[in-house]
Amino acid sequence: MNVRPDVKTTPNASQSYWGMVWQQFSRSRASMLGLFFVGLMFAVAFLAPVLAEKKPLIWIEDGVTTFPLIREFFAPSEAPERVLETGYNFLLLFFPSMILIWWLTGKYQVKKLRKWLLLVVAILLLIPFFAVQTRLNTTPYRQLAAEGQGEGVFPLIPYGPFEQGFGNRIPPTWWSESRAEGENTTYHVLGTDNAGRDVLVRIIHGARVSLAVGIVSVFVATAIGIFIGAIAGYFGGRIDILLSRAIEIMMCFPTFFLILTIIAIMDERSILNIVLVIGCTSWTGVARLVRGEVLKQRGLDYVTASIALGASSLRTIFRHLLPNSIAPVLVSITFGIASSILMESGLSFLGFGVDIPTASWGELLKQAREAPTIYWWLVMFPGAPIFFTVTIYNLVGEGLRDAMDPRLRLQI
Amino acid sequence: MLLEVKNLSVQFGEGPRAARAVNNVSLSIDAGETVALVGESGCGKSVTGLSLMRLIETPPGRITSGEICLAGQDLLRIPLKDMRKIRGSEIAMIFQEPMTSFNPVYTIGDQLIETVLLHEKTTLQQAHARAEDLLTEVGIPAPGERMRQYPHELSGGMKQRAMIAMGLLCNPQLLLADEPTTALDVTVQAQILDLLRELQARHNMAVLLITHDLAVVAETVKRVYVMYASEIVEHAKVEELFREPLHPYTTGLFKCLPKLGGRREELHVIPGSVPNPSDFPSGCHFHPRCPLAKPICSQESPLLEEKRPGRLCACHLVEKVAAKV
Repeated sequence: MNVRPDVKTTPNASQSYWGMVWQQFSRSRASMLGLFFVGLMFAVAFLAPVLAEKKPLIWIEDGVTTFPLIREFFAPSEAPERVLETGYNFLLLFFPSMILIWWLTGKYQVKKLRKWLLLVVAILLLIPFFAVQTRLNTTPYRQLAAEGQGEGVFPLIPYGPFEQGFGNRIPPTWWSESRAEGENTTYHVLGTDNAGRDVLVRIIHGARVSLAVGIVSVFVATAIGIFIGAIAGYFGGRIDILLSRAIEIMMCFPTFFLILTIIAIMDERSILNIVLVIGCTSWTGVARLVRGEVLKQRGLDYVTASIALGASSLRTIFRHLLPNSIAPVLVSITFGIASSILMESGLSFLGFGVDIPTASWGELLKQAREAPTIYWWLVMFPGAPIFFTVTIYNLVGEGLRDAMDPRLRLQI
Repeated sequence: MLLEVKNLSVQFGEGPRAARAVNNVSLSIDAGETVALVGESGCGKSVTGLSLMRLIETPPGRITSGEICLAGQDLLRIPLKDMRKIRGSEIAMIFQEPMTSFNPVYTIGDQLIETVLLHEKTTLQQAHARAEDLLTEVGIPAPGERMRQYPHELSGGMKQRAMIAMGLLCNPQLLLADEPTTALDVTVQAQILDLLRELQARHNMAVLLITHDLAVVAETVKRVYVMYASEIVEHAKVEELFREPLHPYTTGLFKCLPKLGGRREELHVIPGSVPNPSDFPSGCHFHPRCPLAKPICSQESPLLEEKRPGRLCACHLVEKVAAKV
């Protein structure tokens, strides 16, 4: 026997594909910067209620301590998109506990418990979201605190995303002297919009919408694309011709106008609907990509072997072919997120986006349309995150594409 | 008779340009018997093997006629769902390239266990134990550890052993081995052939060995089918074939083998190359390359007839010799 069971393969040979991709990716400074800012954007979106909310975290009034923000956290009372808000809040609690469990089970060598612990924690975390009742709390905490009737710990920016009445279209406080005019005691770093809401708070909460739209619509698009591409590539022949033509017809539509048309005839413009519409119209690239990969893979022996061992077509496609064809899809996912975010902003700018009062970057931009030179803070400040987000996702996508391209791979 | 193939024809594409890769092939295998199908590259032997499992891609390929009877059941007339049950549990197949026959993203163990669970209702533990036993049986040291490894961490010979183990997991009655040793070094080749012989005897399973290597045939099998340009041209017991090849093509093949200890001379080469399957010559497919060709050879297709007792040959020029009484 010419094997040495005691000797493991050399470190270089045992380096996994993803390890290699990561090594290559981390060489590009721009991509790493992009990845860092993507992380930052995630952090802002997840931490939005802690960063900017009108209710205090802790409130002490007449010796009684309450936690008004906690109730709002588990049961949002004002947000029209309850599912979105609670979803983000749940993940905000779940991700850290997941990492903690991962680390603890690894440390104490009980990796088998991992799955069960995660499930238990997830259920435990879900309970308050169902248990806590929504109650509209209109107590003016900030005012009370100012008058000295109570004390509280407020979020970093103590204004709510739906809080109105700061005065319409007030320029950034540091720029104009509006505060000195005495009508306002609040400080608005980026000014207010035409309903008298703080722009910075709207931008922070708008990150939640943009991220959700970007990720979920790409998820929908990728799911459809993978399914259609895999079927076309695997079965070939007439099915392939039919599906490929369908893909090409779909590609011929100017997507943005198609989306505009669909949304125009829709009754309700909730985030879910917008996400579905964007997702259902932008799957063509992924479908073509997956079709090509599946075509390439299906000629390999392991596919024939899996069929020869009695696996069904669906099993062969989903268990054997797709995991081997999915890598390039990842690149198109990152580019897709960028374009979906841009698409949503564009829709909101034209007034076809998410229903007001949900915060959205594009919607803020729209408010500056009447006189962009006067309301410059409504152009610059919401425009910057759109530009910035699209740029960082493209940087990450480009880095990933280069890292996966074997022709561009440097000698390791 | 475990497997009986009658007049199997396979073609790729349609119309006059269709490639007729397999023409009227008939062969049979007894339970527990090892049979070889020998021929040059492109003669249709792999297509024959694949069509036994109904693995020909349709389109462009199509089995145009024939019967494939496994234990009396015609595999070409049963629904695909039943065929899936037969694949892997009644007939298993191992392939030429061990490098690509495993899915690179799963461990060896995952793939073995998946195969067991596909065909039998057993627990994960039992499937795991079975897979480990079989890896031991095919001579893989430290099978528990190998099962946790990915295909790229195993050597070629090791992978081919694991592939054989995967084929044997559900105790098939027939194993199709499509050039199982072509991609391996000579030393490993011998080990794999020994292993196949040993397993064949122990599991009482029939093996159809598809190969182009006459040396492999001599050591391993009982009967040989020689295939040339989509047709079977000769069939004999292995000793008889080696003693006296009848068909001019088989004779040519033997001449191509270097002889050990013989005089150093240039190796014999059969002139020309295997004809294009979409444009076979008329008459005997071999006549343009045959050193003995007569006018009749280009006009009439020879029938596969019993030219010697128990031996079949398709050639106009081989005289029938009746059994000596």
